Amino acid sequence: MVTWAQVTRWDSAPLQSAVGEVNSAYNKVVACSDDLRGINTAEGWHGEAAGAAANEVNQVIDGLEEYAAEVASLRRSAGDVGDAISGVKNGVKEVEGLARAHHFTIGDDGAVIDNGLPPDTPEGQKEAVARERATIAAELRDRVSEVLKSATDIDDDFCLVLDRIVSGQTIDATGNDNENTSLAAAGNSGAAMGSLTIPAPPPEGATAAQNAAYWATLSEGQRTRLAMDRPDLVGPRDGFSAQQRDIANRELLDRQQSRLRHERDELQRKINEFPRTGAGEIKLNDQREFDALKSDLDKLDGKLRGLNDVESRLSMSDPSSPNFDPTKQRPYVLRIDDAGSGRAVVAMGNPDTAQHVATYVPGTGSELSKVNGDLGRADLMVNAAQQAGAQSLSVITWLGYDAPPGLMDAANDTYADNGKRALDSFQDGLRESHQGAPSHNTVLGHSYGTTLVGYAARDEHLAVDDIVLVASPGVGVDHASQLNIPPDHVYSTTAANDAINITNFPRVEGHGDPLDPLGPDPTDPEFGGRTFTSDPGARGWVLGNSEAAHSAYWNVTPTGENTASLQNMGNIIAGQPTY
Amino acid sequence: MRKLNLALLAGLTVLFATSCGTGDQPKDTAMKNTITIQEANQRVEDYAERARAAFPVSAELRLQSQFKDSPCDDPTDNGPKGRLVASRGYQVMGPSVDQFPQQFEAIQAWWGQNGFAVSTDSARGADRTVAAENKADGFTMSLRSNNVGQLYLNTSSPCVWRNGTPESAN
Repeated sequence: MVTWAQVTRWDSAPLQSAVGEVNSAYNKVVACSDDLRGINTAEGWHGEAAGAAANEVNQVIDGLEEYAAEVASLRRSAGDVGDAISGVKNGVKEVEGLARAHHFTIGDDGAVIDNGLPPDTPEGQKEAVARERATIAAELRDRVSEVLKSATDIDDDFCLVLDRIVSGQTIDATGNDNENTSLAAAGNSGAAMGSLTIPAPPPEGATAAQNAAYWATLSEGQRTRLAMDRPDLVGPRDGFSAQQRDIANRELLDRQQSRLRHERDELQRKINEFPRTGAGEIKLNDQREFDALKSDLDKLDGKLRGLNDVESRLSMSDPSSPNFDPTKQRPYVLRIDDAGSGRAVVAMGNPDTAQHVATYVPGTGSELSKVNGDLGRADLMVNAAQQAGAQSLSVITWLGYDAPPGLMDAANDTYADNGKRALDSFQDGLRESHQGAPSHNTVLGHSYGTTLVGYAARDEHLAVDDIVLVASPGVGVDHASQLNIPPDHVYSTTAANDAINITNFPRVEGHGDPLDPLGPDPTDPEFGGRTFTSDPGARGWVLGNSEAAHSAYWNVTPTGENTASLQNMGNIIAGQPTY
Repeated sequence: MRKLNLALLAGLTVLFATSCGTGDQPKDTAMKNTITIQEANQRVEDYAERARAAFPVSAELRLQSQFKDSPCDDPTDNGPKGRLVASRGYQVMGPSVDQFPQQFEAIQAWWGQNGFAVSTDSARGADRTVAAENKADGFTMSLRSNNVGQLYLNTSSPCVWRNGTPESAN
């Protein structure tokens, strides 16, 4: 087992510079291939001496093949280990930075040493700081453990390669056909034996911090290799870099599309071949089975449409595509899954490098099959935030929960309870994978999405700077102060003609809204946060309220009547004042 | 309490199911022919190009956003779903912040000469938006300055049918 003291002294430079020298040696060896073939195939020489010479030549060839393999193996492993050490050193650097910032040190054995509260901690904050430091200490222990695990893995792998070289067991060339000697082929076999394994990630269900601790110990090359080799493992992991999650999820998107197309073809075939009467009708007894097949086909078509819509948006940032639009932010797919009602998390812009990062949580009725409209809203918010002055931003469509399928289900808070941890983990992951100074993070819910945001903020302490609640039926608390961020960072709006107004019952003074299971309207002055202007939206004939006004907050006309909400959302995302 | 809410929602579902897309508007606003989305895209670009005359010769209109066929599924005119909107956003490069007031004057003068009428003029500090609508074709334009010293010109079409005729009639 590698110790912390050892790993802090690791240096990749000697290995990386050795790669060049080993490569020169390898090239000299491989260049002998043609000469060896000439020797081995000498014609017209027979007899005992010729046989002895041939044996000798075969031994020379076998030896050189093995030597080529060993040199190639060393070259490959030296390069891989040098690269992997840079990942481990990055992990060490992050641990030491985090420890220093919070008044901890790491012992030579990897123990996290608590140096006590920073001396300048105000008396009134000591308890809160102590709680925070306990969390940091746990994170440091996880991170040290991940660094040592990676370092030990690298050490074990490298030892194995070196042992094979020293003991002459990289390859066995004696069984080769020496009539067609190829030292390059032997070298390729050796190089394959010199590759390193990538240490296993934390188990499924690990926190974003645990994932990030593991991720920090991998080099950029290892991360990308893992994303390509194991997309199912990298794609959905909060705390891993957006760049590699995107690589993994694009592969998963492709696989899911292929699978669903195949399933769809199968289903269509069953429907086409379904037994019918002579008049082409479905027999009465078979009707239920036939309807079930049609229903399954509709669901498959919906999911395929959603996946195709994601792919179509990706193509808009591909310069080789006819859909290429240079004004659009490059999308990063952070989650894609066609199981159940589906999952799609797509960032317009890289959230790991953006200064302003917003997560948009759609509401009732949202699912993979309808993701196109939500992706469009993200693009519109990017536009609005840019025009508000955001220089660097990412707006994420987060369809990471099962939303209520219809209005009848929207009074039930089970959907919010079931989804709140996923949203919390996602927001934690954004913090963990962000590079440089912390970004300004906003979470923005629409309709039932606000309920999920509220439940997550109330119960899980969302790691965000601003919360935006658009057209909310209630967020599970009576007051903004219960959302665990300063109330003046909680923004709400509801259009005057929005149908949601009918479901928001009047508050009972001092008791919130006991009649509403989702809680009172957050735009009520008694709620305590800030409100911003929305245009009234289309008038309906149910007390003037309309369903159209409920989803008109992103209306595209940048100058028309119904755009105050979009402009204000852009302002909040960009850290600018609202009105 | 939850039962009460569910009952209310059930009622609302029925109400809205029968009220969608009608609102206060006369029913004949719905299914009129329009220009095509292709023509709408061309016209938003034409308006921006023509409005360049309102800015200094040295100013550059840098394309910042384009939405070629955004859905117009929640229209404020209570019209039918299925129509589309074309829009463009341009950052006006060149004029300095202290020249912005003159730019607002100039664009309003240009609008006045080209059939546009100012619909809104709102300012919150440096963040100012002046918008105008062309009464003849329903296209809109706006000029916005923001708090970080940038100036944007936006143009947008009204909701139009992709091929100019109501989808149900196609």
